[in-house]
Amino acid sequence: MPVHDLSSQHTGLYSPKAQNGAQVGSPTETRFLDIEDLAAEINAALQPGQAIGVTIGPDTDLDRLAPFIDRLAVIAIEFSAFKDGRGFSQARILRDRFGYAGDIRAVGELLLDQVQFLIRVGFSSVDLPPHISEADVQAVVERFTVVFQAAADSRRPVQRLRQSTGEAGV
Amino acid sequence: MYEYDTFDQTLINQRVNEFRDQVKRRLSGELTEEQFRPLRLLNGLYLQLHAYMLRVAIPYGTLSSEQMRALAHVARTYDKGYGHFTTRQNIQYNWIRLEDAPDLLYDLAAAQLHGIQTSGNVIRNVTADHFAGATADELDDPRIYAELIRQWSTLHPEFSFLPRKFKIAVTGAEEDRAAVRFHDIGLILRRNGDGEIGFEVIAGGGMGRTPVVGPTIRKFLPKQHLQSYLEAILRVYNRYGRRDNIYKARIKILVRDLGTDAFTKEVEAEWEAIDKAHVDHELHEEHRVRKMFAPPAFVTSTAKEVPSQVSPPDFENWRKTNTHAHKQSGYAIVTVSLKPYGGIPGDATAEQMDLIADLAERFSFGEIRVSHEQNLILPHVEQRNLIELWTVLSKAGLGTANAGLITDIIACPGLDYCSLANARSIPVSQRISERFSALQRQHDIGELKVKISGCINACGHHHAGHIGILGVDRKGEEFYQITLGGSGAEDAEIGKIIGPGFSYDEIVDAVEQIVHVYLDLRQPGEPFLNFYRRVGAEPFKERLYARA
Repeated sequence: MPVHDLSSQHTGLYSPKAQNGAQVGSPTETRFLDIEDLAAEINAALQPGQAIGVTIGPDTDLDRLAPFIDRLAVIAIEFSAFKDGRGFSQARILRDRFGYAGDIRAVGELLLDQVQFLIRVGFSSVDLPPHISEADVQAVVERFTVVFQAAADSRRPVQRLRQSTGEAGV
Repeated sequence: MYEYDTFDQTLINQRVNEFRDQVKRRLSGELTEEQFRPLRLLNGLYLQLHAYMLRVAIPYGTLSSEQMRALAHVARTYDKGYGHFTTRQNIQYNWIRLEDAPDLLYDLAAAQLHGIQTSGNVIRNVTADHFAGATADELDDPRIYAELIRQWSTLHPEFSFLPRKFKIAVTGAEEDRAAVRFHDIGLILRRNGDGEIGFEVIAGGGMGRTPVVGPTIRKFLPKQHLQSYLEAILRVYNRYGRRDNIYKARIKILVRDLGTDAFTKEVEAEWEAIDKAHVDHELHEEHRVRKMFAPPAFVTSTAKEVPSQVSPPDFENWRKTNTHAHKQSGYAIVTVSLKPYGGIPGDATAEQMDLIADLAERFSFGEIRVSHEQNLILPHVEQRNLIELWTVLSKAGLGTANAGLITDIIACPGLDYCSLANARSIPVSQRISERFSALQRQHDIGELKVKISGCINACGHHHAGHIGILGVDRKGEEFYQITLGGSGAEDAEIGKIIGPGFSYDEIVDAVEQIVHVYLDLRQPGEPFLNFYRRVGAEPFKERLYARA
């Protein structure tokens, strides 16, 4: 399925530990490993400068990624069903707590309408069915111009806009 | 009252546009019903037994006269001329056509109303004490915090695909009218030893097939950390709540399975790790919202102006049950009963809604509340205007003097509307209401909360009823189980099943027998619930099942 780059859809990632923008890993050069084999493989197989990606599940213990997290170019989070929202929290924690600045990719069963939320919690790319075009993604992303809570993106919630515009209830 | 600014309005306008597009795609066949379902549910549109049902959010149960008129307009234009106020302080319309739904939401948006997050596995419309801002026993106005929660939870990107629905209730009063211990999260405003305001946080309460009185997980949370603490609870729930079984997916099951202490530990650890300055609300926003909930311009010292003429006894009965002490002397909080004898609990016609909108403007600063007991509240009425108000209400069938009495019944829509129901609720409620319609008798019985659910999902809150009635299906026949001793108030308790169920024909007699036991054996002035707690189930069992 085609991978959509979401990182251009917003102006940067919020991260208290790393202020760098996300870099989308190129799928043609990235080798995906099972997390079970990650610890052993990562040091043995990885050449200096070589990119590596990992696919994790919605319930993967993120602490297990901590030792290698700086070497991961992509963390792909698997959605087994669109209703299973655990992946949203996984991404949020990777950005906010681990300060992970690489590509976080949503893969699996997802709805186009979820893209706006994916971006806000820190995903920087998404794998969507082939019939969905870049224009479709763009339309969903632009649908809502205001947000009401701080998340892992750089969008400012309404209450902070109210403060800066001095708007007290127009 | 809270009023939208351009930001609030922008979001709901964009939401209407989104939904219009989705409906268009559905009607053209581009979307299948399966694909459309999760999208329509996010806007409160259900497919019920006979038609689409649309649920409109009334945040913390507060409405302006203008908003009430918009609800009347919807009832008249898109439904059969009436609407149904629910136990979650919302309103439902039961006869909506899919092709009309976008226009309906467009009309509502002009009155700052919407259907966002009134269904689906999301943070639902937040509820609060329906006497907020008017009652004397209040530490602070819970609507301020409920409004902050409304904003924070609106289209929350991380918590829009939870294991199951999620309900938050807030109260600032000593008397719990918001049933906070029966919510996924309940918040009670408290003051700590240093005089600071914050919340007692309750998590994991609920009704449904596994009723739980929610435990307190934090005695005092400083109010400025409301949002970060809610995020911590929601994140723990989103990550660890069960998703394999719909009946075990609510947070109450997670709290129960982990144990309150272990759950609390998880939440506290999560909260520790959150960047609070990033997530918590801005103080200036709290001030902005607080200003909008400033008390209206009360007229002082009107107490002596009560008309000297002798008031009719019917009015005195109404005043006894349907008015409540106001924090401002000379004022009263008025409950407008939506429980006429033999009527459908919570139903109001478009004409009644318009009338209440007018009366609110004349007598209550244009403010209306919806109570979770399915009545409407005029929160700020001058006592000298009570007779006039009552006279107008009575003429419109809205003057029933039964607030808190046995005929003030909560009932879910039941098998008459709902695709989940096993049995009818509304006709049972109507028959009980007719049986006990003699007002003198009702007053003699005193406070008695009867709550009826048409299935185990407990939308009629039967677990919290002094007398709870649960409709079940027994070999294709409607049967009704009775529970006694429940309470949704500050002394929250789950009612206990008294014994075998009763048929549709027997259930009203059974309720009457229960009332007789109470009347025969109570001590002077002893309310039903106290009586039950003193004597237990035995005398009731004897009377109900002796002949069997």
